Amino acid sequence: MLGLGDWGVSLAYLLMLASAALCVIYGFINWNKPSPEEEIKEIAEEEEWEKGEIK
Amino acid sequence: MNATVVITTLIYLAITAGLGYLGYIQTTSSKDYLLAGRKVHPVIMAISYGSTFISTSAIVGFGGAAAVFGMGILWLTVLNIFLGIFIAFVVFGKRTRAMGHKLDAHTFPEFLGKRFDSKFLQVASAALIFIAMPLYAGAVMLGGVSFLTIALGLSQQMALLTIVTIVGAYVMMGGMKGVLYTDAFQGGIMVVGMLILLWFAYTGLGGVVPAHEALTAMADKVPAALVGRGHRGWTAMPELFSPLWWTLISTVVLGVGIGVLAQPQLVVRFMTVKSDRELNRGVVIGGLFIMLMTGVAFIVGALSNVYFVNSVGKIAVAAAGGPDNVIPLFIKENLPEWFTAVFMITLLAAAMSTMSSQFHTMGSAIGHDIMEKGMGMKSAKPVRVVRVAMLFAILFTTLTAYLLPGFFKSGATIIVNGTAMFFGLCAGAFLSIYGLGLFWKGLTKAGAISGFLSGLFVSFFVLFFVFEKVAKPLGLCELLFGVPTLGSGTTLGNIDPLVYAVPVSLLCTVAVSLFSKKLDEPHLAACFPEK
Repeated sequence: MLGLGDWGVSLAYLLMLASAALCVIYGFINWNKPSPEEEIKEIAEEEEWEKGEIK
Repeated sequence: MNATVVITTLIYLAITAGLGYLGYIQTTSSKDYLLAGRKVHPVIMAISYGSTFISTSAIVGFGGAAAVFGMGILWLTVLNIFLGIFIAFVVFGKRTRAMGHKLDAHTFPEFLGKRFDSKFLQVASAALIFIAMPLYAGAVMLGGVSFLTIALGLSQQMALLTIVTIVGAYVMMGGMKGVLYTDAFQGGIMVVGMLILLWFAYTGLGGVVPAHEALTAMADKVPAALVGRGHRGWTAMPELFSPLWWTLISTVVLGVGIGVLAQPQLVVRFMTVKSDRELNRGVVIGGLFIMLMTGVAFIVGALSNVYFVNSVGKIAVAAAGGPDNVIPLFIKENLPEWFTAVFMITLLAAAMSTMSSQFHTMGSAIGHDIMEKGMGMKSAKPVRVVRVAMLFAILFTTLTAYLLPGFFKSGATIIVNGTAMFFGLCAGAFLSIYGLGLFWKGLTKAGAISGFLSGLFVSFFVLFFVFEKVAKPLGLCELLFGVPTLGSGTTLGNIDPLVYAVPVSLLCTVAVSLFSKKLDEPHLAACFPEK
C-alpha cells in the first residue's frame, strides 16, 4: 500500500494520519468547552489561590 | 560562510532576543517566572509544548535513525501524536492542570511532593532531573551544534559556546514567559521549514507513492551487517524479535513514545493554562505540529537513502559518515542553497526551544525544589535563587555535551541514545506514580516512594549492567562481573530499561499502596479537583 514494503510500515503511515485527524476533530468539537460559566468558577478559584501567592 | 545564512541567522537571533526581553519585562513574581502567570494562550502553549517536545534530536538524530531503520520508525510518530499529544492533553493534562492549581505547585517535583505529601519525593525527583537531564540536554545541544558546524563552518567548541550563551541568557532573564514566547516563534519557523522539506523530498522523487516505491526497490542495498541483525529494507519492519526489531520497538518507539508522558519539562506546560478549554484547543495545534515534525523527519530520513544512492552510489549512513550527519548533509547536497539558511534556522529553533525548557526545568529543580523547598533557603527574591541555579545547570549541561561523544563509540547515534535514555529514565521513575496519582486516591505516600525508587533502581541496574549500548562503553559490568554486560549473547541486552522498569514500578506502586497507610481525607480533598 502507498508503495510501502509491508503492512507494518503501511499501518504506521496510516495511523500517523489518523492520530493527527483525531486530535483535530476532538479539538474542534470541544473548542468552546468548558463553558464560560464553568470557567468563571475556575477563575474565582484561581483568584482565591492568587491571594496566597508570594511575590 | 554564506551571506544569506549569516543575515537570516542574525535576524532570527534578534527576534528571539526581543521575545526573551519581552518575557523579562513581563515577569514580576515566582508564578510568572516558573509558570508564566498561569494564563498562557492555548496556541502559544501547544506550540511551545510541541517545540519543546521536538528538538533537533527528533529532526537530526531521529531523522538520521530513520535513514538506518527505515520508515518503521513512523510507529514512534503514531505514539508521539496519540500518546504524546492526545492522551497527554486530554487525559493527563486536564487532571494535571486542575490538581496543579489546587496544590499550588510550580514545578513537576513540587507537584509530586505535594500530591503525596512527601518532601523526599520532591527533592529526590528534582535531584534525578538535575542529574539525568544534562544527558538529554547535552544530546539536544549536539544536534544544534552538528548543523552549525556544517552550515556555518564553526568549530565544535565555538558552535557550542554560541548556542549556550544565547539560550542561557533569555531563559535566565525571561523565565517561563521568555521560554514560551521564543518557543512559539521558533515553533512557527519549524513548521515552515519542515513543510518545505517534505515538499522537496517527495516532489524530487516524483510524488508520494513513486518515492516510496523507489525506496522499497532498494531493499537489496541494505548492508549485510544490518541484514544479519534483522533489517528487511527501509519500507518494511525489521524481522520480528530480531536485535534490530528490539532496538527499534523498545528503545526508539516505546522508550521515547511512552517516556513523553512523564517528561517534567512537558508536564509543567499543563499548569501554565487557566482552563481545560485551552487544552482542548491545544490538541489541534499539538497533533498537527508533531505530525509535521517527526513524521516529516522520519520520512525524509528514510528517503534520503534514494537520493544518496542516486547521487554518490552509497546509502545515506555510508555517504554521511554516521546517522547524525545524514539530515544536514542531505539538505546541503540536495536542496536549493536558500533552503540551507531556512533549515539551519529551523534546526537552531528546534534545539533552542527544547534547550530553553531543559535549562528552565533543571534550574527550577535545583533552585526551587532543592534549595528553597528542600534545604529551606529563603531569599527576598526567590527568582534570583532559581536564576543562579539555572546558570549552574547550563554549565553542567555544556560539560556533558563535551563529554558525550567520547562516551558512545564513534558513529553511534549519540543524539538518539541520549534522548531515549532520559525519556526512559523518566518513564521508569515517574510514569506510574504520576499517572496513577492523578486518578487513584488509594495511592499512598509509601506506594509512591516505592514506585519511584523501584523504577529508578531497575532503570539504572539495566542501564549499567544489561543494556549493551550503555553498559558496554561504561565498563562497570566488566569491572565487577568480568563480562561486558549480563545480557551478552541474548536479546536481553537489546531491550530498553523502560520495558522492565515501568511494569516493576507499577507493580510496586500498587502493591505497597494496598498495604500501607492511606493519605488522610483532608489531604486528598486538597488534591483532587472534585467537589
